Amino acid sequence: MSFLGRSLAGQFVTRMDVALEARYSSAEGDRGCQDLHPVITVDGLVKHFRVHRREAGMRAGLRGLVHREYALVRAVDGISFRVAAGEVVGFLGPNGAGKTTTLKCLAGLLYPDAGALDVAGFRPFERDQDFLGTITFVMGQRNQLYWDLPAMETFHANREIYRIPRSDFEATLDVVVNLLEIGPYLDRPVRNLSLGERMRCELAAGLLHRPRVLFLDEPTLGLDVTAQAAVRRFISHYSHDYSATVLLTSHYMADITALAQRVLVIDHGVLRHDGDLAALVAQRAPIRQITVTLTGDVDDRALARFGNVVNRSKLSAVIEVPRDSISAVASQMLTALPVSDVSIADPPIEEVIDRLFTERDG
Amino acid sequence: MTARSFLALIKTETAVAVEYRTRILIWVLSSVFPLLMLAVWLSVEQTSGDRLPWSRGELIGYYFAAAVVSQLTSSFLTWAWDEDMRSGALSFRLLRPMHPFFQYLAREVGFRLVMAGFLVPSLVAATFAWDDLTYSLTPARGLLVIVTVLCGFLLNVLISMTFATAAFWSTQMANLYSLWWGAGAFLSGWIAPTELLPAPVRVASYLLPFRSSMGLPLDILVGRSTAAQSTAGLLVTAFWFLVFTWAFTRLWRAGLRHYQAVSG
Amino acid sequence: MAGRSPSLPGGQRLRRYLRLLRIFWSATVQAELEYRLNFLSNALLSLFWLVWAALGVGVYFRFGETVNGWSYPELLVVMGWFFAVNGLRQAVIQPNLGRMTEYVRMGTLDFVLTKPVNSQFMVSFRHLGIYNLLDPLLGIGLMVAALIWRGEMVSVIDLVGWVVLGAGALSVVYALAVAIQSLALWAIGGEALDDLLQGVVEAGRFPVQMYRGFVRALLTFALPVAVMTTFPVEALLGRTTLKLVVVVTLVAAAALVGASLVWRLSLRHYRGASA
Repeated sequence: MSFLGRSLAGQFVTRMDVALEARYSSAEGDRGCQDLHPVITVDGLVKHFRVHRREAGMRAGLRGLVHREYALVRAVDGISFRVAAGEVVGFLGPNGAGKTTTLKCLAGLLYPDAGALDVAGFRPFERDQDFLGTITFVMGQRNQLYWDLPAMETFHANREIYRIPRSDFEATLDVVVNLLEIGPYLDRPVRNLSLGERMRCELAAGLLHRPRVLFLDEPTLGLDVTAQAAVRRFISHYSHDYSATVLLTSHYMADITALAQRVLVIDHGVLRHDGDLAALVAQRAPIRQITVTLTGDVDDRALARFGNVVNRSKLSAVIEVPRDSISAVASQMLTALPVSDVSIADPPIEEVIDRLFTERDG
Repeated sequence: MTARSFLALIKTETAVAVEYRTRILIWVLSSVFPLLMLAVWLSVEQTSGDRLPWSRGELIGYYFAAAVVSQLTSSFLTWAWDEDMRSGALSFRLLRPMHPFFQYLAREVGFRLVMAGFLVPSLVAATFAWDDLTYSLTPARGLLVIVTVLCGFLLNVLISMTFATAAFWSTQMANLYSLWWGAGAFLSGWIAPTELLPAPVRVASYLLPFRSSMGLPLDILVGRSTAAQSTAGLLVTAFWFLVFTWAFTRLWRAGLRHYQAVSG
Repeated sequence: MAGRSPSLPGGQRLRRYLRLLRIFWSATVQAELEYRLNFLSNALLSLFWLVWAALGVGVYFRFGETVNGWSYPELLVVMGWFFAVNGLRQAVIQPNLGRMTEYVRMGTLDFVLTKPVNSQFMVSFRHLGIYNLLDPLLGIGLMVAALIWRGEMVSVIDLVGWVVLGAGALSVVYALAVAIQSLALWAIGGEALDDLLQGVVEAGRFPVQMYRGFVRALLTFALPVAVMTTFPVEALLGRTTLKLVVVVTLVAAAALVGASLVWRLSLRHYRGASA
């Protein structure tokens, strides 16, 4: 049992590594081809909301009855980007950055205040039935499945609603059920499923009509690690097999690193970065981390000469060093200190992103 | 959207309603209002004797059927819609390539089918169990009852969807619909059979859309509606159906635009 | 106010619970202040239903001066009192006990049960449906108007009788709500439980004399419809007896104790089932 678990985990890590490899090696290469066949074109998208504002307390509440103050929330404030067919793009940004609003505009749920949108040749807000048959929008926190019926019933209803030919339906269902491993859950009422089981069924329901464009809003929210991995695997297979275009938001960096070749970082309704993750790290994290394993005792001050010591134990240390001087510093260390091992790595991506968002406030 | 996909949706929604059968049963049992009305009208009949133009038998037949017909023709879509807007479930309906009107209609049909499944047999059984409760129906009139009930149901769904659509602008639609329903209760034959209302109210009842889903089929059922009156009633229903179709389609288009503009 | 859990001895505890009540309800009121249009529209709606009910009753009197011994103004007094009781049900019971099924399903009940406060108190008075608080005032307004129209003086003794029987009526409605909603802890009934209570209360729209035979017996002895509306109004009209007042008081006390027992029993079952 534990062996099986470990080997699965090993497989997963390998897969992640491969994905990372691919991501880092692709670097600038694929950016050029985006403009050839953009499936999604967003030009200067703006979406503002008016929200009622009030302080805490009964007095403020009563005052609000008579006089109201409103604040304008610039949910999306002039965003432009293009996504080519088959691209998987990750949306990063803190809560309320405008990610979901952008997705909703693209799915035709919201009417933009300004800007031009084109998704698969349609203007989303017109909600053409062919457009709706081309896309899917999966929201991690909400469900479209019939709560009191087995998921299979929703699948059949969707087959009719999306007018999916029976043979196509059977084929897709087969693939989807196998990839998501939901076979055993299909004939149980949805209310009796766990969150992970339900979310996988939800994903299946959203993809039976083989949409070419997928909007996935936090598809792994609240899932355990196994379910997250299953969802990730599935999305990657699906986008590959059907050359589907995927726009994905997630709070789990692992989702983004595993799936997206390209990330859009959005904050306060403004696009702050558009490109691959490696470029983001290089650009936003002008430092790298050197981890040294020592053979003997070394003075703290001796270490501090080389850079910012972020982690220190008796026989090892992690030191931040400017990206440009990394090789020089590393070789100096090798000669000056009793070192048994040195490794160089980028800081964790979460830290890079966090730095990106806190920089703005600072 | 095709007829096939609509039928498939009705099938699914009926399955949902079947899951809720216990709840529906309790709900039906607790809607005592028509039987309260019957009790009071029987008291009135006893005290006032000949001054009341309706007989005891007619009153019993009318209100027992009212308990059934009101359940079959009423619509909770305004509230369902309200709830869907709050919870965000409306987004899912908008994302499907089928007009939400038909999605909601399917839901309502499924629900009412399950209700009819045990209400109509119960009413039939009651006529055998209780001698005072009888209907003398010809096949033609029976058919007319079914037709008017169906028309009344459709009109009511359309009206409640029209109100629901206005919820795009205002959070008060459920309340406004309550007002509409309340006004309707006077004129629909709910408080009293139309014939027993004071003259001006009676005229309003014949002309406005409320009676279509209640008084009209009931009057036909108990035999207090001439052929001419029934035809006139159906014409009134058709007229209001056109009016609300027009209103709904206009409101829908504008409302959707508005929803897309403001929903967060 | 509808009855309080009977197991609250000691002034200090009572004060504590009153303070809790204030905190709970002021939070509800604040939350609702956000929706100002709701105030206006609900007030209008309340007024509309009152007029609706009063006019609706009028239809019966087109065919006679009295209906089973009740004149139009007398029936209006019943209608007003029904409005008050029903309004309190909607304001206090519906937003709390009415949501029991939701509490069980969403697991909110577990939060309630982990608080160091009497659980029945928590599930009964956590929220307040402020929009319906106008209904009792409107209802009493209608009662006063109808009594003036009727043109007979109401003696102080009649008034005392009404107050005592009225308190008994509210206690019985509350007890019935607790008992019915306890079913949710056995996973019975779902949201329709609230409709069930509403159905019972709804029957109190008319005095029991309007019903006959089996139905009247049922509404008088099995379901608390007579206790709820007919008896208090009869007191106001000078038609009650001391014996009835005593009996109703005892019945109300028994109902409150019984409801509390049912609640505890159901809670024990719920904890056993969900552990």
